[in-house]
Amino acid sequence: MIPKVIAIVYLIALLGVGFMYRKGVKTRLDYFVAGRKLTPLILGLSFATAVTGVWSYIGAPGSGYAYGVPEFASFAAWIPGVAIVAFIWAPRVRAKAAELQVTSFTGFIRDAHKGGYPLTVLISVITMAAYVLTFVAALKGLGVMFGPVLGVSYIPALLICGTIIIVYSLMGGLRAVVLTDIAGLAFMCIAFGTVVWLILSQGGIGAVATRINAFNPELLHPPTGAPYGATMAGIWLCFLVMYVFYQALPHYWHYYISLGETTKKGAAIFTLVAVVSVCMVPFFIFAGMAGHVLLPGVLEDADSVMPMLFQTYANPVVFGLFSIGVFTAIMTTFDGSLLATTACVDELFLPLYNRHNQTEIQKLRWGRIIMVVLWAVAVIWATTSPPALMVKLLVLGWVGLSAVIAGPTLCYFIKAGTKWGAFFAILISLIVLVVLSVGGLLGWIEQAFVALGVSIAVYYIASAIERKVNPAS
Amino acid sequence: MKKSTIAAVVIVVWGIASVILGIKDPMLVLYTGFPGWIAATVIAYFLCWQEEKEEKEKSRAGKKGGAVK
Repeated sequence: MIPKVIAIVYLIALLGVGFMYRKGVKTRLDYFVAGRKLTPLILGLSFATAVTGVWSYIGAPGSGYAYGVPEFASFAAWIPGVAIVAFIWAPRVRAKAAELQVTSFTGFIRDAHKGGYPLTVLISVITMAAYVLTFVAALKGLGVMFGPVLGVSYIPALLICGTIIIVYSLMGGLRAVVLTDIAGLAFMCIAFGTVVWLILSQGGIGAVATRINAFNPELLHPPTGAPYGATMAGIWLCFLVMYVFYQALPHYWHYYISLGETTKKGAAIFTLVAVVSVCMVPFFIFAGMAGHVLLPGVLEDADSVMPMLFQTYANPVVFGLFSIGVFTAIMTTFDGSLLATTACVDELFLPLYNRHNQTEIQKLRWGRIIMVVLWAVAVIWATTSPPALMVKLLVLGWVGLSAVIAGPTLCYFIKAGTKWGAFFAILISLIVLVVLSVGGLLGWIEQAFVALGVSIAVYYIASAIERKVNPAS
Repeated sequence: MKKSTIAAVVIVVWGIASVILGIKDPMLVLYTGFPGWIAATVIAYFLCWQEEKEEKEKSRAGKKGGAVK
């Protein structure tokens, strides 16, 4: 009963946030980037919830269950990745976005490269394709995790949560998204507390580690070569490279272009907040590993380890609090990426708006309609397919996307390429990634690294060719 | 070297240190690596805050000097 009451109050409060900010949204700039006035602390708190999000509460324990301790290395690499982006790249992205007056990831890449409509279409379409998977996965997660808390079945839970998210996002834009994310962070911290309680109730980290070691020593002390074919240092280095580029994902990039000020202190605050939230994740990974000794039998779906642990060991109140934390984690991933994707797709229609002399208010209305359409497609997909936690699919989509766009994003600040350099970097690396994935060649990390290398190489090679052919480009 | 540069280096260096700990015993990353990172970022914040304060004082002093002239 207590979790149900908390959940209902929280859902009503979310609507209140959207209602509160609805009058402040008058232009696309207000709606998509909150007038570019958000402070590093506020944005850092929201970013922290987005970077940890659903992966931490469901995916990371699943990976801990499947791979064991090397998963720590992946998160250890995340922190310097965030620091490098916060200190070096984010201020540059913010300054350039303000200079170009852009409100989306697509707009940034296109205008920074003086690109045309082909580049807009390519970036918007691949962003939409990757993120629709995110929306479907998020909606399914909401149905699976939140149904038991509200006392309703999968589809009503999915529809209730999905509707509330779209309503506050439509009303308040990025301001509402950021504020609701910060409110969600409080519940995510409570969920973290429930995980700590779970480990302590089983005798603490030391006692659980001893049991894991007795069950399978390789989970805590993996032999070289397992499971990613590298040592801990090798895995760390690979993930560091990966995560630096991963921070260029459209919904993260959207945070950088929305920054209101870019001081070094701001970068440190941004990093500090992200680091504190990321440092909670290893405990989730450890709890996932503990699933081997705390749960009977072997789980078919590693991602279900956390819900299974709570169902087995926690009383309904603790399980309810954990579920609300997971709901907020999913919500923070969903609303931010929905807004960032809408901003990208909106760019496709800008020429049409301009041709028909649409006013700022009319353009804003179209932007909101695009958001509803994207949301509706995801709802139909999620409600007509079986309930499941699709965390792996979601992350694979993001890793693939961040690898493909690597050339024209962060490499732009090392040495800027040309519009066709950006276009072919994305197109060719996308083709390579699809061929590798469909052909089942290499593991997913290796596939992403190949795509990342191709994207960077093609970006510079095609740009050099274009400059030779057309020195003015 | 600027204090903000030292701040960024502190975070990355602790990253390398925690990996060395991880090679010795992966569980040490959980006990020391991640909490250490929070400490490293707090230090980084303090260094950036100091740098910004010094820069503000310098620019204020510069403005005063200009006014006297």
